[in-house]
Amino acid sequence: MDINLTQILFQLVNFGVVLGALTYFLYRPIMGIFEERSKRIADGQKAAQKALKSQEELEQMKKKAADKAKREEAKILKAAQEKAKQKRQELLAQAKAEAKEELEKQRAAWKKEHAQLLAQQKEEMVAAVMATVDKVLTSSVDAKVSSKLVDKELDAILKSL
Amino acid sequence: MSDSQVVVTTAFPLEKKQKEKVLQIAQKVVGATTAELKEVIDPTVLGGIKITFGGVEYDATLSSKLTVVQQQLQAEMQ
Repeated sequence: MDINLTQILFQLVNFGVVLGALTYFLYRPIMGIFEERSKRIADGQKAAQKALKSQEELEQMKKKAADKAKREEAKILKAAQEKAKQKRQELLAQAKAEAKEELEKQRAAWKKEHAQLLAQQKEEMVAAVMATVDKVLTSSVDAKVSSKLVDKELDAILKSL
Repeated sequence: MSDSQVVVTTAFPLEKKQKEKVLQIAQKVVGATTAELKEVIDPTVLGGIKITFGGVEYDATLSSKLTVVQQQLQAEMQ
């Protein structure tokens, strides 16, 4: 087998040309496509991570907002309960004061009425007693008794002079 | 009524002796030697005697005593 150096050289040049052409027209565009795809994938991943992060942040914000709303709600509820309790106590105190005042008024009126009634009864009793005594004396004091009384009084006056 | 007039109020007429005692009282109190006795019969005095002369009054009637008792009773009841 003969070795043709020219042929070898030609083949080498030919291979080099084909390699160069392939590299220039096929390898580089394909690599460019691959790089672009990798870049798109990386961008997509970054965007996905960013979106995920944003979503997490949003969730956190949502949670914070919900917590805040819950705290505000609890605060408002507590304030409302306190206010209602205070109002209830005020109303209760007012009702008690009014009831006490009314009771005092009723008691004073009753006491006054009772005192008047008692005084009236005493007066009537005294009048009845005196009327009875008067009646008894009228029927029992005759001229003889009266004369004795007069003697007794006159003697007492004379004695005292 | 003059100073020498003695007014006596009773429920029944006075006896002579009682009238003398009245005049005796008048003489001792105001020194009236010739006092005139005026007798008033008033059944509402019930008993006892009331003597009035020279601005002096002795009220020893049962009615006045009853009035005093009534006033005391009313005062006690207050």
